[in-house]
Amino acid sequence: MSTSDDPTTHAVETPSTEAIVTAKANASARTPMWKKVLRDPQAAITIGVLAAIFLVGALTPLIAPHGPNDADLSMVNAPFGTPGYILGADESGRDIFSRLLHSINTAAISALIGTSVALAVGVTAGLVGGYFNRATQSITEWIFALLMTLPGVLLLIILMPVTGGDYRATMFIFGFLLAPGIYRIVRNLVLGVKNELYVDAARVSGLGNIRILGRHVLSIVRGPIIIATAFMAGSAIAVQSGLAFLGVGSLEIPSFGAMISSGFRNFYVSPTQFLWPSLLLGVITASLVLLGNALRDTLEGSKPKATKVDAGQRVVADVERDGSTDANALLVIRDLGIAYPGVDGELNEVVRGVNLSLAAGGFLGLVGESGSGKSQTAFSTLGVLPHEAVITSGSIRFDGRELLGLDDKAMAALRGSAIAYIPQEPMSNLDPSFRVGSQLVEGLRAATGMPRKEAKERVIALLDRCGIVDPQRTFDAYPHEISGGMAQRVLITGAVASRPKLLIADEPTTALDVTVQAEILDLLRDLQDELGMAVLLVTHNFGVVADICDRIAVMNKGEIVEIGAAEEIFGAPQHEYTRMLLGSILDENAVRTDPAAAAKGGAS
Amino acid sequence: MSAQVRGRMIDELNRDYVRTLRTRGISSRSIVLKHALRNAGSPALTVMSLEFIQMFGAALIIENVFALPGFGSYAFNASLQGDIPVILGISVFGVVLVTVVNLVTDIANGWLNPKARVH
Repeated sequence: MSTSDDPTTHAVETPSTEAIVTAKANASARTPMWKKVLRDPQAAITIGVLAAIFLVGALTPLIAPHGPNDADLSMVNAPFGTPGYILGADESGRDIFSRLLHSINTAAISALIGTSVALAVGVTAGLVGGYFNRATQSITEWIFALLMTLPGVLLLIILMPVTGGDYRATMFIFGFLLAPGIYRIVRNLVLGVKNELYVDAARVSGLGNIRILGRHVLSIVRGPIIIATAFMAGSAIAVQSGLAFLGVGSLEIPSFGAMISSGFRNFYVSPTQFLWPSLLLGVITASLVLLGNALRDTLEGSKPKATKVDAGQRVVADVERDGSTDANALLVIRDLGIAYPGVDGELNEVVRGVNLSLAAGGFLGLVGESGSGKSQTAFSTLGVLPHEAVITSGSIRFDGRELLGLDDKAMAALRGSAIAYIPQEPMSNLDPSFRVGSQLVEGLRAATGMPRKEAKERVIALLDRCGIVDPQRTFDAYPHEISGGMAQRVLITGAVASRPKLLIADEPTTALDVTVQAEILDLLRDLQDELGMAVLLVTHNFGVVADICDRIAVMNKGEIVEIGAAEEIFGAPQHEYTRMLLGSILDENAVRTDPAAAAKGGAS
Repeated sequence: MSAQVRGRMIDELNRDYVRTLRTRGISSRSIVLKHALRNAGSPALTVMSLEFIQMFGAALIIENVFALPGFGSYAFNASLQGDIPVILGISVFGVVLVTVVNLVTDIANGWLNPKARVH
């Protein structure tokens, strides 16, 4: 790699995977996994408790005053605190304290065997099943589906003649029963990562399967596997104890289960016998489960917090509620700022000082590249910003009414009926579990309160109007049964059904192919004429706004850089960024400029 | 179980279609109880069926503690005594039970999730 300083001459070399591996190594070097884990108090405490218990277990031969099966008939059911028998002795006169210590080791060995087998089987099968071809995949899938349906404890008992009562053999089999969990985790991660570009790059650059699996895939599955191991160790110990409690297996082996069982029998003679092993077993398994939970939070990043759907938007700005309004304007956005809290808790503004106005019946195009804040502006008008978002400044006035600071109930009354929305990605915006028609009818009835029959008629008529060939069939279809273009028509139907005054269309054509795009845009324009609504069209594509918008606002890095009539923007763009966007429209008459060069020119 | 449903619900409520339903003015009660819960339900159901099968095995410990007669203790005693016909019978019963539980789960899943229906 020493000669690759000049990227142009060595562009065909295969530095991609190496670069990624080093980048990843650097990333993990910054915050080592164990350090992150130890910083979490729950993880640190449970690790401490478990380490202390298993350390004592390891030192058993040195500190245990008696052997696990040394019976002294004079000590039968000796009480708590007898000299030499601190915790007393059981029904056979065996020292409970010594047996407890030896039981720790039995538990440790059980957990070790169970989890090792599960990991070995599950990880191997998961890598193979996820990475290789479909046939291999369905065979492993089938085997593990079978394993998962076996009732664990019962199976282990029935197999007792096979294991000969040895708890180690039992745990070996139990490892197979635990393996499906690991298999599923690994397989899903592998399937997810298999088609990632860097794995493709590794394959193209000639790395063998084994090396790709070991290096690129295993590094990703590590975290989830560690988490699962903690849970599996807990369940191996619990099952081993459960079986010993039932008396399955050799009675010679000291274990928590056997001790609880014996304590249980002598419950009326000496109740504390039952207490000690239960307590220790409880502490160990609870610690493992808590450790697993703590690991999940730290290694996988804490799960998104649950939020109320109807929490409304957070506004920290002082909104002047009765400022002057332009009588002609339907929507006036002034000085709007939207921010998201960053990793360090500081607010990171994604939209700054946005001013927009849209006349009733007008058609405004909001243009900008991905991440320029145009969708955020649209969402804030609808009152559906994600809950982390904070509106830091400004005012949004719709039809003379201030929207910022309205609670979700008031916004919900406006949404659908007065302001409607067409989303970007048609397929993910339909609820997959409900028929198309029932979703549309529910929305229309929520917005207008119209009777079901009338709503259904209007939806079907509108589906027809929106260019759907067999509206009744689409009405009765599930979302996965219709195409992307049809789904977008369905979503347009849903948006305009209640005759809104303002329609916000968020890149309504991005996910569609070119011929369908043109039809959808025509439909939007026709519907605007017919219904007299104002349309705010959000897009990154100047070609889309060129035909249909009267006014255009250009947005870059959260700010509006230029706003004006469509002819002005196209005829005499003022801002550098607008010119760059215009320059990037595909035009078959001109040779395209190199995008990298254009970006450089735009930035300078 | 509850952690499972909670996680799924959080995922579902962050999905695009939830936002779109909200923009149509649909009440949050309907979105949570009708739309999100139905979509979150089917994985939870699968977990529940697997739990049920594991419970069938684990019931044995409860039967033993409270000295209840049941399949668990029957199987347990049979395997202690090497009573092969009884073990076989219980195994067959287990297979049938597992199949029935899975069938019921699949039917319920098909009702919850139209994509899972086979035409």
